[in-house]
Order: sequence, then structure tokens, then C-alpha cells
Amino acid sequence: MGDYVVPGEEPAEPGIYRSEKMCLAQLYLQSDASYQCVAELGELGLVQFRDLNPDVSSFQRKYVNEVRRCDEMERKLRFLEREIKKDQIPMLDTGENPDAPLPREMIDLEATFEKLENELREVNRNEETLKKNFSELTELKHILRKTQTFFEEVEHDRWRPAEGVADQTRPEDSQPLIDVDDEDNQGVSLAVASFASRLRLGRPEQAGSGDTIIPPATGGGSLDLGGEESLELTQQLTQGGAGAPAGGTMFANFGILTLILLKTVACVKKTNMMLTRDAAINSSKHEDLIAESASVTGPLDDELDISHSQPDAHMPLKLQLRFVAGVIQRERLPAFERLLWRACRGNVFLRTSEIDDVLNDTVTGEPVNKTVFIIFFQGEQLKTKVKKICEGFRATLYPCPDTPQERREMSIGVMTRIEDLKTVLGQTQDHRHRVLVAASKNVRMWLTKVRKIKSIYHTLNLFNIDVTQKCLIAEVWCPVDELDRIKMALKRGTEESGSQVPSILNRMESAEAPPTYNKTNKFTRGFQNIVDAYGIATYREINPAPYTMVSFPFLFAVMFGDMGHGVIMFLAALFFILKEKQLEAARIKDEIFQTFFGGRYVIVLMGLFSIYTGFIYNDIFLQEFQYAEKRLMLIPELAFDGSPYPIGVDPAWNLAEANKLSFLNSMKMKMSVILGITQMTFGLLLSYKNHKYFKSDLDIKFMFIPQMIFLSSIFIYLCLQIVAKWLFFTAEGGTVLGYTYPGSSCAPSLLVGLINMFMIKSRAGGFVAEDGSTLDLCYLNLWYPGQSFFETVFVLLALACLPVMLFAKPYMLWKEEKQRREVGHRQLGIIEMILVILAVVQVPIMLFAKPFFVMRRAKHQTAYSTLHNEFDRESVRADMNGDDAEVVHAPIQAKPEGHGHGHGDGPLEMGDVMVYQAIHTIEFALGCISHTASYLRLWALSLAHAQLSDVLWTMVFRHAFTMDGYSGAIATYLLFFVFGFLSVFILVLMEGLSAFLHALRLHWVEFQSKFYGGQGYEFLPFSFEKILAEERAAEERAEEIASLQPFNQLFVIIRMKVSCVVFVNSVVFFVLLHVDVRLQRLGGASSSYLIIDSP
Amino acid sequence: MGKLCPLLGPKMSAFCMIMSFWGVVFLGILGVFFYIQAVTLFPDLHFSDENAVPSTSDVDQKYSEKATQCWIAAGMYAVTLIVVFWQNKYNTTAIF
Repeated sequence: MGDYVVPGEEPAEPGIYRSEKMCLAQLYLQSDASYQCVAELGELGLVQFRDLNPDVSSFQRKYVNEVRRCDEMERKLRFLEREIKKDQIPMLDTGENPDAPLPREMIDLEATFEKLENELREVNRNEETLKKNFSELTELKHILRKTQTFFEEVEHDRWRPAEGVADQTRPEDSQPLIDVDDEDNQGVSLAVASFASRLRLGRPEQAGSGDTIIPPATGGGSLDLGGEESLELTQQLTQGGAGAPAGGTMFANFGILTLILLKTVACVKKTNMMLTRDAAINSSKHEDLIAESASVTGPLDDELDISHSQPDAHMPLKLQLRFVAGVIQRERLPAFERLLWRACRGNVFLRTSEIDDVLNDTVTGEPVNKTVFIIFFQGEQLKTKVKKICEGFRATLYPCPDTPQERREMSIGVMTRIEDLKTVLGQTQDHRHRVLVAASKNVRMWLTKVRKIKSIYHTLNLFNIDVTQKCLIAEVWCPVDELDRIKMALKRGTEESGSQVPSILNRMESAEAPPTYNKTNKFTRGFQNIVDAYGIATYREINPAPYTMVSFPFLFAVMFGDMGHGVIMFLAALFFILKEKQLEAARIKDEIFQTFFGGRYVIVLMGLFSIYTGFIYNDIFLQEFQYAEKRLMLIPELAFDGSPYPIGVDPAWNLAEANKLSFLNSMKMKMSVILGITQMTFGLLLSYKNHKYFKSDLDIKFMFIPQMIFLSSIFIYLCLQIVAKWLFFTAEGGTVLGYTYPGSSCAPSLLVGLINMFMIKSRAGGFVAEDGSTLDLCYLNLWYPGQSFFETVFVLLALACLPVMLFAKPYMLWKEEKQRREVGHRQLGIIEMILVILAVVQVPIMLFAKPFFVMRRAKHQTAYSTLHNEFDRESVRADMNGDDAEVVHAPIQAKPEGHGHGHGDGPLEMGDVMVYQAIHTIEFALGCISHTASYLRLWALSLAHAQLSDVLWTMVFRHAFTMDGYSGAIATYLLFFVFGFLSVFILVLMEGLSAFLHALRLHWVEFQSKFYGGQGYEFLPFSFEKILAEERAAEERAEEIASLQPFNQLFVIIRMKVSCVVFVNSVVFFVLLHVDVRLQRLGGASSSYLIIDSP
Repeated sequence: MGKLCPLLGPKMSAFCMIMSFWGVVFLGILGVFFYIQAVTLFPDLHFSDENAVPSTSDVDQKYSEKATQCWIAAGMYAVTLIVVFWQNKYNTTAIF
């Protein structure tokens, strides 16, 4: 395939046969008109722009600002889109395709988007603030409500301790705790807490009851109180506690707390009145004292007088007992509780209550569960601690007045404010909704427009700017046939922009290989994709796709031949085709579905062909069907009644348990050899068309002809033998081709015959000895007159072709090269000699001269670097954005090497040519053999499919018929379901997939290697349609990924799916091996290995 | 329209619909083949051990019995088809 010369003009051929003829053209566009022209070309989608500034970074290009603006617009639109989606407003997506807007329209668009974005942002900001306020108020409302219940509960609870310890009443004035040292106080309070909890709840601790009392972990580590002491204290407290109930009405709110802080009990009662008054006196000295000790050591009366005077609105003013109320996220509560306990050494009392309503997070808007808490403590130091902890846990603290009246008032105030806020919030949301609804009608269209603008500027960035800045120069690849349409588009673009100077399209000559452009429609695309997946065709070489359209489904069907499965496949694909529009509109993103949907036309053909081959094989769900009369005899000689079965395989074979497979194997094996060799020969013939098209006589003479002779003298001859055997050697004896033929036991063995042919072994002719007895090994003998002569000739011919293929072409090339040289230099032998010597001398110069000079220059440069560095560069690169005069060199594109080992261009490299030729020859000669063997996979897979279906039928469905009566009917009903399910998923899907892959391989390797270069590159036209589709796909992918991220389980599921497939595959493989073993037992050749791999 | 006795989701019922339609067709045809005594189906006939070499009348009777069996199963699939169709019709919320 090597030596293609660039073709000249030739008659047009239908589009699909070869790729489109392309040409390189220069476009001169006036700078005003360039935008419009590119837009028109983008709509047309038929030109591929070349980058003329490959060494300019993308930030230095002329239209980088515009591109940036477009990016910005796109960002804004995406923001809008996100907001719209958040509000769940349906987006109008008519799929209409607006024209690319004019450049001046871009400013309008920008302004619109700017306005929209700002408005939206502002609304969002307002809304956020409002929502924050709202949620704060709601939380406050809840706090007020909940604390109310806390306080009310206490009213009810405070009598209970009294009942519990009624018989232990002690004088209330006894103050056992007064004497306790400072250090011990914490322990005291803890012990009290423990007591309190026991009292209240009847058991030491009860979590989850809504109001938790901090557990009295005496071993909590933070206490330096001895166990004994603690015990003692507890006892004392217990006794002291008895006095509590008498504590007076002021404890209404703090009933539980009074229990905790029993040490104050005695004085509390006395100072009751004092506390309820508003005490204004504040003594910082005492305050400190209280804070530090958090207990009562001195005269209580004194302290109580002053402690409540803390002018803190959040704090209750009673006692030294304070509380803070706030809201915290429910999940944080346990940690919060523990930290409070640890950090405050159990000196605080926490009560919580869950808010039943689900609140919304102000920032993210996600629902969160929160809990109201209230913490009681005493003293300043604890207060700071508690506050810090609250802060750390992001709990919000709210002021909570301590009297019921105040709380009620506040509650009412909060409610009114909430109502107001609701109104405002509703209005804001309405406004936002209106804005978004208005935007949602246009947002998709805007996005399309912006993307178009962006792609246009991207394209313009590839252009070269003329010296005068009046026009832009572009280089494009375009199909020659479409030049008119391109010119029209340019004209339209120029007219639209109102420019007087027309745009010019100038065809250029180029030695560079043009891109490959195959026109496709929705039917041919699937097949073209199959071909392109192997390699893009070299420019203008024969496109295998049209042949693939026939041979691919056919080879698939040979392997998959089963009418029932074919019908299933056909119907599924037909459904896809008929519902094409709806399914495309539904935009199902499932990858597996997309694969099947994309290949629907391939699948429909595969289904049809399978029905055909199934009919020929007489298989329907492998229940080979027939409607002839019963034939129970199995031996062909006896069973044949003189009238052959009209079409396909005779179903009578199905009853021949013993020799059915031997018959089918031999038949299918021969059939696959014939099919394979036909396809290979066809491929070789196509290579002739290629050589002819590229005017490569040498290839025709020294490649194609020897290859053809090689192939026909061995393999086509084999095919002829097969056909002859089928025609002449029947079950009955007689005279065949001049020899007496005793019967089928003497039918010639072709495989051994082929081997003998290569070994040129002398064999006897005929099957019977002169005395009429049948010869031993008669099937190995010669079976037609002159066989030995012909075979010798064929083998010798094939062998003779090898050196021709190997050496002829390189030799001819070499000779040609030599001639050319000699014409030029016949008289210059001596000069040549001198040149050679010179060349030899060059070697040391090349080696050393440059380093030497480089070294010298380096020295030189360090001395004069400031002077010279501006002149170092020879060409001045254009500063695209500046206003200075500019020098632009149209960069000379590096010309890629012409394909193959061409005549003419450049000196001939004999080594390369030889190696290439050797590889090619070996590949062909060995390939012919291995490829023929490889085609046996047709037989192997077809057999495997048949056997697998057979297994499914006998192992599953047949059991239904062993039962009689109604139970039989029910068994049929159930087993059919299993049978059908397995048929679809294992036989149709998995077997279909494997047959598909094998058919693919046969096309890529066995067929295309005969003629297909596949060294081209794809034509990628600048087309809005494509760009928009790509952007859309990218968008959807991003969405999908975003939606997947939270669901890592999905990946697990996918992985499970994959492993399931692997598992099923291995099961199938196992079954296949079994079939193989069974075959071997039956005497059939084992060949399932071919399924796995073959040369 | 409210859901009437929702047993199967839209996908499941669609799948079952296809399967039962296929069942009706396949078992119907299979029954026909049994009825015309297709020779390929001979191995599917099951004879009791004492009747290892069945007489022609036995075979004929067995064939027709199996044909009926297939048709009954096909009828059951027809019923299934109706049920599943009803499920599919009334229990799918609008997908598209």
C-alpha cells in the first residue's frame, strides 16, 4: 500500500466510495466582514481552519478580549441557569438555532446579562439577609416557647423531691455546706447534681428524656475531691435537700436548680423578696469572688444582694444563677454536652429540647434540625467559658428575659416581626421568580448565541492578519465539490456586514496530505464509525465502509445464525429506528443504551441477516424446525431418499444424535473457509483499485500480481477443491472424475491433501485397486487426473511469488534512482569522488566546529550582551494587540512526510524500503495462512452459539414437557419465563456481543489489512452544530458527575455490574469449553480455542 | 387517576409485557409444531420407563397432549399480558 503518489484530476466517483476531494484554500476576508463570513461558514460547517499562528500563545492573539468577554457571558448565563434550576422553573428549550448575533449585538447581550446578574445577585443578597433574620426570629420564637415549658415544668416538679425525702426533714436553716472549702465546692455541686437527678428521675441518669442532667461522673478526672468526702457531702446534701421545698415561690422558675445548688437553700428563702426586687448595687469585688469560687462561702445574704446586678440583658438577674439560651444543630448536641461537662467540671446545667419544625439553613437553604438549649451556671468565669463553648459549636445565643411577662411580650413582638418578614420575603421571592421566569424563556437561546460568538472569535484567532490590518487571511481545507456553496456563504457574509470589498477564496496547491472527509448519513454513519475506529482512511483511498455494510452483518449472522434471536434483535433495533425522534429527544444518558442506539442501523441489519442465516441453518431458538415427514434413519447412504431438502440444512440431521455434529462441523468449517477466502480475495482486488488510482504501476506489477498468484494457487485452489468435493462426492459410489469411487468412506480428505500438496508427496491415484478392492487410506489418494502435476505447479508458483514480492519492488526503485543519478552525473565521476572525500572530511568538522564556535560566541556574548540581544531574532513576531507597525511572516507549516516511500521526493533509502517490503511480504504470506485459519472462527462461534442454545433448551425448557396435564402447563408457563430471560440476556446480548467483536476483528484484521492504509487524519470542519452539540454533551457530563458525586454507592453498583458481566462471561466460557470437550469426544476437531484467540 | 392496585413499576411491567407477549407467540407456535408432529420435537417427548419403545399411537397422543399443554401455557401468558397491560396502563405516572 505504500507508494501512493498524489493523485491528479480524475473522474468523480460516488461520495462514499472514496473520501471527498479536498483542497487547501486561502480566504482573504475584510476585517469588517470577517466575523459575518466566519459565522456563515460555521452554519455551513464545511471548512476546516488551519492555525496560522501556531507559535503565538493563546493570550497574545488578537481576539482574546472578545473570547474572554464571551467566557464571562457564559459564566453569567450558567449562573442564571443554576438559579433557574434551583427554583425549578422549566427552561424553554425549543432547540431552535438562532443565527450568530452581530458583534454589536454582543454589547447588548452583555448589558442584558450584566443587568440580570446584578439584579439577581441583589435579590439573592436581600433574600439571604431576610432569610437570616427570619430564621433567627424563628429560632428565638422557639426558644421562648421552649424555655417557657422548661420553666413551667419546674413549677410542677419542685414538689417531688419533697415527697421523696419527706421523712428526712431537717431544719431548713441548717447549712451543712456553708463550711465547705472553695476547692470542694465543685464536688459539692456535682454531688448535688447527682442527687437532683436521682430525685427527679428516679434513677441516676436518664438520657434522651429531653431534659438531661449532666451526669455526675465522680471519676470524671476533673475533680480533686476524694471519694469519701464526696460521699459524705452527698449525704449531707441529701439531708439539706429536704429543706428545699420550702424554698418559696421564687423558685418557681428554677426548681431543679435550687436542688442543684442546695447550699444556697437556706438563705434563698430569706432573700426571696430581695431578689425579686430590682437590685442595682453592684460590687465588683464580690462579683469576682463569686465568679472564682462559684459558690457560697461567705455570708450569703451579702452576696445575693449584689450578684444579680449584672447588667446583662441575656442574663437573668436572679441569684448568682445565670442562664444562656440558644439554638444548636442537633448533630452537634452530644459533643456540645460532653464538652460543657468537661470544661465546666460539671458545674453547669443543660437542658435541651428539640425543635420539631425543620428549619432551613440560611446559606445553603438545606433543611437542618436544631435543638433549643438552656444552660444554667453561676459566676462570671463560667459564663465566659460557656459562651466560648457555644461559639465554638456555632450555637446561636439569644437573649431571653427571665420573667414570664417579659417573655410573653417579647414573644408577641417576635411574632409580629415574623409576620412582617414573611410578607417582605414573599415579595422578594416573587420578584426573583418573575426575573427568573422571564430569563428562563431565553436562557438556552442566549447560551447558544454566546457559544456561537465565542467559537467565531476562536476561529478568528487562528487567522493571520495582513500587514495593512485591512484584511484577515485564513487557510482552510474544504471539499472541492462544496467550493460553490462556500463561496456563496462568503458572499452572503460580506453582504450582511455591508462591506463593499468582496471576500476572496483562492485555491492553493499544497504537498501536504489533505484530511479525509467521508460524507455520511445516519444509516452509513454506524458503519463508517466501525471503519474509522481502526484508522482514518488515507486521503482518497478506497473506503471500506460500503462493503462493510454488507459483509459485516453477514459475517456476524454466520456466527449468530438463529432465526428467533435474529428476530429479537431485529425488533429491538426496529423499535429504536421507529422511535428515533422521541428517543433522541429524551436524551437518555445511559452509556450502554447510547451504544445500542447509535448502532441501531447496524443492529437492524445484523438482525435481518441472522434471520436469513437462521433460516438456512434451520434454527429457531435452536429448536431446528421442520415440517417434513419423520425420518428416523441417520446414515446418509441409507436415509437419503433422492430428493434433497430444498433450502438450507436438512432438519433431519437434528435427529442424528451421533453424527449431527460431524456433519455440521464439516459443513460450517468449509463454509467459513470459502467465505473467508472470498473476502480476502475481494480485499486484494480492492488493493488493485487503490494502486491503479494512485497510479502506482510498480505496486500493481510487483505487489498485486504476485500476491494474487500466491493466493489463488493455494487458497482459491482449496476453495475449488471444496466445491468439487461437494459436487462430485456423494454418499453413493460410482465413477467420479475418471476414478471408481466406492463410497463416502473414500471421499478425499482436503486438509491432509493440502499438506501433502506442500510436501509434494507422490501418492497413488484412484480409490480402488485393480482387483476392485478398496485401497487402504483411499481418502488420501489423488482424486482427479493430473492432480499431482497441477499441485506441483501451484506450489512452485506460490514459492516463486515470494522472492518477487520481496525483492522486485525495492530493486526497481533502486534501479530508477540509479538511472536518475546517472543522467545527472554521468560525467562527474571524479567530482563525485571528491564529494565523497569532502563528506568524510565533514565528519570531524561537524563534530567539533560547532561546539568550538558556540563556546567562542558565548564568551563574545557575555561581553556584548546588551548590545546584541535585540538583533538575535531574525523575524519579528507580530504584536497582535498593539498599534505598532507589524511584520507578519506567514509561518511555513512544517510539511509532514508524504506517506509511503515515494518515488521522486527525497533520496531513496534502500534500507527502509527493504525492511518495509520484507515486513509486508511476510505479513501477506503468513497472513494468508493464519487469516484463513482465523476465518474458522465463523464456524467455531456459530457452533458455540448453537450448542449454547441447545443446552438452554434441553436443560431448562425440556423439563416442562416431562410433566403432564395442568402441572405441565404451569411448568411450561414458568420455565418459558426462565428460558426467555436467559435467551435474551445470555444468547442475544452476550453471544451477540461476542459475535459482533469477532466480526469486527475479521473486518479490521483479515479484510482491511489487504488494502487499507488507514493513515489519514480526520476532517474536522468548523461547524456550529458540532460545537453546540459538544458543549451540550460536556454540560450534561458535568451535571451527571455532579449528581453522581454524593452517591458513591452508584460506583459500587456499576462495579458490581461489571463484575457480574465478567462472571457471566466466565460461565459462558466454561460452557464453551464443555462443548469443546464434547466435540472432541464426538470426534470433531476442537476449535473453540479459535474463539479465544487465533493468529 | 389514582393508582389501582400498584404491583409493578413502569419498567417491570413493560418488561413483563414484552415477555408475556413473546410467550403467547412463542408457545402458540410451539403448540402448532407439536400439533403437526414436527420431528425435531420428538426428543422433547417424555415416555415413562416401562414404555421405552412407544407405539405410534402413543407418540401421536403424546404430541397432541404437549400441543395442548403449550396452548394452555400460551393462554396463561395471554392472561398475564392483560394483567400486566392493565398495570402498565394505570400505574405509570407520566414519564415523558
